Amino acid sequence: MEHCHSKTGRFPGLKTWSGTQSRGKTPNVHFMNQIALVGTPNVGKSVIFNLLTGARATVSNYPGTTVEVSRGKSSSGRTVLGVVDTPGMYSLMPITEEERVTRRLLLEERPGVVLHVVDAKNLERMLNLTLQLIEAGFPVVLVVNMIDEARRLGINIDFRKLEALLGVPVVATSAVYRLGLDRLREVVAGYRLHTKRQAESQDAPRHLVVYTPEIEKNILKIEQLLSNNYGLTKRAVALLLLQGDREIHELVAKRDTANYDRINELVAGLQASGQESLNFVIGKRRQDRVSKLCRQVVTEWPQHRLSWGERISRLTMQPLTGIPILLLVLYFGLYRFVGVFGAGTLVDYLETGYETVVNPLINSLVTSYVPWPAVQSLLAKDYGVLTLALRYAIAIVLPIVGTFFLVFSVIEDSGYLPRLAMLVDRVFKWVGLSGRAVIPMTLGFGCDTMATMVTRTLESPRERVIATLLLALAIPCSAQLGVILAVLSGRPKAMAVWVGFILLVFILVGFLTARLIPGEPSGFYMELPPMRWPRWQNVLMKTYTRMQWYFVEVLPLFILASVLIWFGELTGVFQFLIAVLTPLVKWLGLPAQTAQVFLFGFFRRDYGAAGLFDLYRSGGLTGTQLVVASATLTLFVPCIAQFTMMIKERGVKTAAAIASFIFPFAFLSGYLLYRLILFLGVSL
Amino acid sequence: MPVNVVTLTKMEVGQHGRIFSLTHSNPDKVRKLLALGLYPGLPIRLLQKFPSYVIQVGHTQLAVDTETAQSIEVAKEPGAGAACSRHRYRHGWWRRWLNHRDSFSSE
Repeated sequence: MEHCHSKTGRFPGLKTWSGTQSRGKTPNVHFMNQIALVGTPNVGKSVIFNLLTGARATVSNYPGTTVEVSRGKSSSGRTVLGVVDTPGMYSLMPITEEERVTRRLLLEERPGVVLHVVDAKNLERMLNLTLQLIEAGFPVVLVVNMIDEARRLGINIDFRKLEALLGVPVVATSAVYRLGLDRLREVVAGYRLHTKRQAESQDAPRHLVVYTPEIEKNILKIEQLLSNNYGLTKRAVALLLLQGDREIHELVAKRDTANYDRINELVAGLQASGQESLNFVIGKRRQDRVSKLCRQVVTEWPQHRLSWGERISRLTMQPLTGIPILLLVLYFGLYRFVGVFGAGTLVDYLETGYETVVNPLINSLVTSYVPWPAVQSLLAKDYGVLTLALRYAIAIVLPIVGTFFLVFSVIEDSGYLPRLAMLVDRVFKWVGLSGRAVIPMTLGFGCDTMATMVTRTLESPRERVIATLLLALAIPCSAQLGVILAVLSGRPKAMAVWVGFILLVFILVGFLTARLIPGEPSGFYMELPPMRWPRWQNVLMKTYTRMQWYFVEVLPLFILASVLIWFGELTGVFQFLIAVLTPLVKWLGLPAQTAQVFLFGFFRRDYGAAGLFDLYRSGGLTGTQLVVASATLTLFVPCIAQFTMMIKERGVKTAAAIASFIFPFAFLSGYLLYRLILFLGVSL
Repeated sequence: MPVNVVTLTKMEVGQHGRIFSLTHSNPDKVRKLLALGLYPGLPIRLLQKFPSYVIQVGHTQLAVDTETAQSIEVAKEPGAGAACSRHRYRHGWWRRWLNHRDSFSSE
């Protein structure tokens, strides 16, 4: 999903490029043999992409998981085709950034075949886009996916008839059960033949949707005024102009400058003549056509029994039962599995093994074979690449992050997250977010860097900034969380104080920023896909790709941090920084060694957390100190990786503003917490 | 506006209807709903009102917030459909009891 390189990493030389970087750049691929997968979110585009290419895109039961465009290759027989998976789009007229990315791709690359993937259960809601794509002159193949689920619901579709009515090839598939894929490959391979035959049989193009006479008249007039090629049929361009598509208006103003004023007059004139917006009238007309089509091809036997998935779904959405279910998920998934099992049992086991077996071995090998003390301390000893960086990565971070991603994948695949989104939407509104932000926020508990990238799925720039800030400030990543849970697990009171404090900061800061940042709060609307049993192949694959992404991201930084610390030690910079931090740390009532932990934390959040764990193991901290250190460390630093991602996603200015708020704020609130605990005289 | 047209917020849980129109001062919001596939004429059923509105359109369920729900106008479908579905969605013994009482009072 969020990570392109892992998706197509098995295909060397393939270009992957993220949505935000794509502007104005056209990747170097053969245009003629390109297949593009388009469709609304959560219809199985990524599954089909994987099956066609053999790649591993993250597939999930959550609308909008494909954030970036991913590319792969498919070979059938002798021909090799490029395949592009696009983020979900609802309509040809884009609203979100992802939709814009998809449309730009369609216009600029002119794929040889456009596979419109739709959900068989919801043809009436899906065919609208098909009509738009056909209207726009794209070489469409309609892929009716999830026929298995539709059959189970008693829905029957006459595919032959649908094909005849639409005039494009229609293929029925059930991608998760790998049905219909062979036929899909055949249709794609024979597509050029098909279109040629079509072109021969019809001289004048026949319009699938005929609009009101007034609109049709204006379409004709506008068509005559357009002289340039926009990668769409003139009819489609005219319709988009009438619908008020800003991007197309700008494009036409640029390319058909001479006629643009006249076109604009026509659009404005037509808009003024009717009561309802043109976009609405055009959309409704198309939908009427779709409904008529569906009446002709779909037969349904109503089912009266509520399925188990549906029953569970209802339970998760009612606050009375939903909140206890959420707490159970958090307790067993996060606390028992990630906290106690991952960060406790597994870490203990691996740490002991590493420290008793691997480290002494490395130390003795390095001291006996490497004569230079400087290089010795680079590789081994206290801060060595092999003894510290690898140990943190393998023995502390790997088990925690692994268990988290496993739980997350199970939850994601079941379809629980959208239900959680609707449950918390009201609460999230207080902090300036919408229920949609549940995904990045939950993912943040795994890795804030990854989550920052996923904030892209949020609708307004305002919401994205708030989410980025809250992720950087108040969402501990899984390594931090795991270590903190392990460190505080023996002290329920300390744990409660830490949870309460972070929650308070989250709500307070969110509440204030929501009022400070201008702009309207975004509305909430979300599709709720059916609840289903998580498929273990899916879960394992997702866990694997996320872990892979994480390690590609993390390990170099661990090593870099080790090298930087070594360099800092050698030159005295490190000691200087610690000397600067020490009074700050003492101000918080913490022992001087924590300064080092805080400094580590900047290199990576989890690095700092691991340092805290070391300190705790040596028994040098009291209950109060543990709470203050945990709280400050949670709030403090977005790590280098997250900070880099913040710059990439939000720009330097916003990232710098967020960071310069967080640094003093973390220490100040740590201090306040410390004073408060002292003042109240609680022993933790 | 016809008599049986109400905003989604004024519907009862379990009621059926057809989307009548989408009204919102901000045309962008209307566009979003259209893009989601909420077109006038589609059959719709209200499943839940709190904490968010949950509607069933065809075989898909959508969750929307109050503000969005206010901009969806629905032509209610009276009669058997609504009553029947209400029965289905009021599950649990207390719901059954309520339904039972309802049916008495209407007679």
